[in-house]
Amino acid sequence: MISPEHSEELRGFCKDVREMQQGTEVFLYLEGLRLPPERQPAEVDALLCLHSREGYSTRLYLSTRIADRGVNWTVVYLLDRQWHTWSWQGVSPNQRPAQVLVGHLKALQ
Amino acid sequence: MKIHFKLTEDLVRKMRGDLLRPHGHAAERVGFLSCRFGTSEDHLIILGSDYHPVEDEHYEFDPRVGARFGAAAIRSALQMALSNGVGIFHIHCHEHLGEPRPSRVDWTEWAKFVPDFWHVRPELPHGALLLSKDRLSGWCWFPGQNDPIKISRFTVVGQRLTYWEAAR
Amino acid sequence: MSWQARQSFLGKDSTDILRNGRVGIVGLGGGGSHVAQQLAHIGVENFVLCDPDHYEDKNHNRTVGGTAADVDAKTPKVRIAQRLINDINPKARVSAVKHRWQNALPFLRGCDAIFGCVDSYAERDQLERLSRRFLISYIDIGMDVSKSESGQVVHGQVILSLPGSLCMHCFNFLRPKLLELEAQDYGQAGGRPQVIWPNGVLASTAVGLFIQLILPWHSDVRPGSVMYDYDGNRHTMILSPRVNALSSVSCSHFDGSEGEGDPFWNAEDAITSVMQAGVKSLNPDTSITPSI
Repeated sequence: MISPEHSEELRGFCKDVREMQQGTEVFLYLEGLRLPPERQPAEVDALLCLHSREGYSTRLYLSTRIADRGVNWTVVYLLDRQWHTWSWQGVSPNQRPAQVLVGHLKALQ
Repeated sequence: MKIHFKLTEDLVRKMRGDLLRPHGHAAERVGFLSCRFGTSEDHLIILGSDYHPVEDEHYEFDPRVGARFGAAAIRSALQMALSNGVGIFHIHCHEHLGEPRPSRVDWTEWAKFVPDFWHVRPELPHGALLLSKDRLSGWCWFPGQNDPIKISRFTVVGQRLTYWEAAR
Repeated sequence: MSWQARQSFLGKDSTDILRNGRVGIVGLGGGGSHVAQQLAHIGVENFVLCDPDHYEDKNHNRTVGGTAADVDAKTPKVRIAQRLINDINPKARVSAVKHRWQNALPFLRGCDAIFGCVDSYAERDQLERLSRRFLISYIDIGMDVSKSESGQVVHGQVILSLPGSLCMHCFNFLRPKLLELEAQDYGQAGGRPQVIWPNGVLASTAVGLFIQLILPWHSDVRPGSVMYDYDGNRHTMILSPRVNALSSVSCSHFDGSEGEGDPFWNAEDAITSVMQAGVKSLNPDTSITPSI
């Protein structure tokens, strides 16, 4: 369960934050996540995964692929939606969720 | 608008097992099915999730109708809708073969309590189902619309996969 | 005499039941093309086909319906399957989606059964998840050729995964470690050896399981999910020992997510979307390429 403080911090990056569950996995749904400047689109929906999954300690999934950024993009079905993610390792879960998010957004700068 | 209702064989068995039990004074039993939703290319999809029987003590004595349940039964169903974010479908049996059709009493009763569910879950559809020996039929009330829409297709999944189109 | 007269043992209503079923086939290569052909012949009339690829030389050793002209023309695989189905039965309604299945979810959610004929474990895992979410019977097939000391081993599997019953994780066919290793390869699952005859055996078994689900012609039917192991060297298809070993086990991998539907579902958007679909007329030749 994400704390109100962490949730509020994440809201600095997006319109809304919601915890969503798929089986035993919990994801943070970030509605209207603002991407780094000059990225297109400027806003996407996203899922932030703070637990280890398929060999990644944390991961960020986006509602659309970002051109010219990130490598080895793959398409994933999660929470009954199509999501796009890329290969970006080493963002530790042992920090605040907002820091995890920033760690993944670095790949899109 | 076309509606596709899906549920499991296990759930149908569970519902039938409860609904066909005799009751001390009610001529028939009723229950509530919590439901979740999706959309396909051309249908609204309703997925039967959990069955919630009306407790024995929640039936009220009324020889004019097959079954009457009191406020406690409705409160329980309302709480379920509120807590779990589900749509609620009332269900009872018509013990014959073929597609079950609602009686005038069915329509009257449904029209009374289905709108109650919008007090707790105004954003979701709710409705009613009938279960015969071999078929289901159902109607769905959408938020903001007075007239229900008949469920057009059913799929029951399990050891046997059964599907059918409802009569128009 | 109807063209389905020889299958009357399936029951007097079998023609209608087959006609009214909705089947998805994900992957129209070596396995999926066989499945499409057989289902069309037996009388299934509503298909959703998903495959993003076009036909190439390397597919030509095993794809039913593919021609040399298709190699030259780089015909989309879904078009080949659609053509195959409609040549067999012009009345069949085929939604041919030349895209990843994750981009065709509205078409798949309404299926009664989905055949997964894909290359990767991750795709299988996700397809099973979709199927459990929307209470769809899922049938998975796949083959591989491995090296052993004494030569090559042709092998494969057919798995029937039913909501409320065991899943591919229960059968240990899908494992977190496998998915992790595959993800580290960035999903490069293709390029494995593939030949036509094992795909034919696997597809035929899968179709037989589906027909048995909807038209059981004998009371001696094993309940619940099943897995069959194919040995292409000994030419055997046997019930996997894992099935009996798990006979008293319940699936815990989809606790709380089976029949969950769309967690983002919104009544207003759903009504708009379905109403818009209602005004479109569906032509059997219509193919759909949804935008990304």
